[in-house]
Amino acid sequence: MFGDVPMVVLYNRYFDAIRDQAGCLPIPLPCTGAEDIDAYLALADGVMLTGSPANVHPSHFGQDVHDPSLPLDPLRDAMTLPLIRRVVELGMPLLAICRGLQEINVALGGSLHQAVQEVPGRGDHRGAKGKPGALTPERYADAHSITATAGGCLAAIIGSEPVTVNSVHGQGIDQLAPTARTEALAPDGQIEAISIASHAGFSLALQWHPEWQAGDNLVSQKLFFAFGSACRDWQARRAR
Amino acid sequence: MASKATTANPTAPDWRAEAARLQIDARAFINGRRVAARSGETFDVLSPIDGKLIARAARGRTEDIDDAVKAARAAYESGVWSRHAPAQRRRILLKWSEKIVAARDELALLETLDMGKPIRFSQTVDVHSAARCIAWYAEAIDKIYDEVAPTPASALALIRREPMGVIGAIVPWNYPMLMASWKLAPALAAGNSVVLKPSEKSPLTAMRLAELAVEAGLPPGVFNVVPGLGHEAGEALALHLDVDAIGFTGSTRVGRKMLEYAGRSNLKRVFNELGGKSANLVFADFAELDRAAATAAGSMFFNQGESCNAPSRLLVQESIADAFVERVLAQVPRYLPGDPLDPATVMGALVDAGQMRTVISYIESGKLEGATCVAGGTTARHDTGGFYVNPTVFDRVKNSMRIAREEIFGPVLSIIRFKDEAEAIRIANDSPYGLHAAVWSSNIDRALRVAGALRAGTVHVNSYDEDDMTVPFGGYKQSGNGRDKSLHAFDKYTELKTTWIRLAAK
Repeated sequence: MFGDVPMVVLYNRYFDAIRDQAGCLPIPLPCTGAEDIDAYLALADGVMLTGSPANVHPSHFGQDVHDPSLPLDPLRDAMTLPLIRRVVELGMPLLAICRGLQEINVALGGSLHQAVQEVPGRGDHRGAKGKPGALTPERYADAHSITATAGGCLAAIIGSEPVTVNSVHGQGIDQLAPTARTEALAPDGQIEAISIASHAGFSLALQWHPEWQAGDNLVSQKLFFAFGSACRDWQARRAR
Repeated sequence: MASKATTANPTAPDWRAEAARLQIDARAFINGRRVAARSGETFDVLSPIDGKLIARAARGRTEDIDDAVKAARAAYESGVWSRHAPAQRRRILLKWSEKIVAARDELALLETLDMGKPIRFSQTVDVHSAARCIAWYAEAIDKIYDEVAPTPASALALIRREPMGVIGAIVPWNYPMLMASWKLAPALAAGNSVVLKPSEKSPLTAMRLAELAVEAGLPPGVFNVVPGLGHEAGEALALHLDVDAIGFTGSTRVGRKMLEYAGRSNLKRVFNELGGKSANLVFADFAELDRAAATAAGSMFFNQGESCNAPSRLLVQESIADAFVERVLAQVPRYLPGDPLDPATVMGALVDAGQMRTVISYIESGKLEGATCVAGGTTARHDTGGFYVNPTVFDRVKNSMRIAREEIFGPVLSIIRFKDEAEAIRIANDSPYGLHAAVWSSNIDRALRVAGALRAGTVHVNSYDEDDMTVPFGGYKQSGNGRDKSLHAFDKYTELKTTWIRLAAK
């Protein structure tokens, strides 16, 4: 939803990364209603949750809206939160970016900071120093480093040396969901990646945007390739 | 659908606190006890008030439906209910009705949390109408006589009504308890066993109703509830070879499938109560235009417009149209959506995100097709995380537009202007639906003439929604077949048995 206009917007960078880096066929999933989730999942071998300018509604973690000027998307919440719980139940490959990471944490019972930049000790994670405007190279510029947790599944893909990432988010994980694991932290302590302990297969959620420079960034390439491999495994198992 | 609320309870509980305390058991109810789905799977039940997860309901599938049908069949064959004396069935059903009234607060709260209607109406309309419906059929069952045919003296022929066996009831989310009761009460009163599949959007009260029934003395297995998704549990029930009839209330799209499933399985009887696009005809000769306008808005926006019989096409005679539209618009602010748990709220949340999306899409379509949006047209209460749409009125709608032809199931009123009686009837009947209609006229000849000409199951004259349990409810054309309410509902859940007896001549 954009205000009262019902539309689904999908930035090319997401499906380009799925097609060109993961080697999979991207199928957009419109928020038609939770009753359709299984029908969509039957068509797919993996699920990627994209980022969005709209925040996860704070009602889902028991808070009031902190800044009413920021966009919300209750239609997406109503689709993705049950979708995540179902994907976890099935053990289907799951890659989540930015809002997607926040959705996973909320769907599984965690909570979010609504404005990370206002949390004492945390930096401003909104990109371009919080100036308004979207989708500019300045906003998606390298922002800070992250370090993958040694022995974790993110580290298994990208290693546990610090890498530099972009940062385009106002919300961020506060209380980690009980079944989620921290996979990476920013230097200021903000959780930058998680996986799901109760998920039987590939699950990885990233607070940054690997799709932005997917073709030119080795870390992004490794991440999408790993997700694509998990989807191909799922497809092979499904075919048997 | 149902009569309007009376007054809010002056000693109303703190509903937010009650909601926080509520322990919700969303497992199925089969053979007198709560059970999880055989697969162990569940589906999420989200509250449209704030979008939050409130329960994970048992996700019934073929095997669970099969368990429920087996229990229902065994109970039926045992005669523990089906051959129980009518007066004894009456006593148990009346006790059930009393238990529903006693559990009023809990049931009302569950209904409101589950589907978003205002708590005052859950209490005063849904709980009470459901209880009254069950009591009405209970009272009827030992007062109905069968027939003796006018045979020659050489024979005696009995025409008796027998229960049919196992009835499947599949009901919608707009009035979950009440729509269930319209099926359950006559089916059970007649001696049948029932398997109920509530909507996946509002499954919670159905299982509580079943628990209360067993507490009231209904033998286990006679009434079973299996929550689940339409294409899983609903389809399994409608395809089941040991189900004798299906009472379905819902969309015309799914009603078609019910008939297909019957054809593909055992030719079970299918009774469909489906969609509507009910026309509300206001003539210039009606003396109380203020009351007509208040009712046009009130019946439209009641239950957030989520009523199959909502008068969603308002046909107004041109000579009074401008003044009448103004009167209707003056009513709109009364129906601005509010917190469903606030006893003062009269319009609540739409049932879920998908329904809000549907309603918004229709509103957009109305604007694009050239109707004039004179009120609402927007979503509301964004701070809640729930699904709210402002009461919306389109003027200068053409009957060919989608907002005049298709059932929206949301708070969207389409006003169409007509010149004379003949044009009004033509427009009103130019619809695939024929559920309800209304005519407002102070000329009794016209009122009755138009009522006779309208192709609809119920025609209200100088009123709307004032009908009670004593009259049938159902539609012409693609609004369905068979009738809920009144003694005619027994026609659906009983078979006629002829017994022809030769009498020896002396």
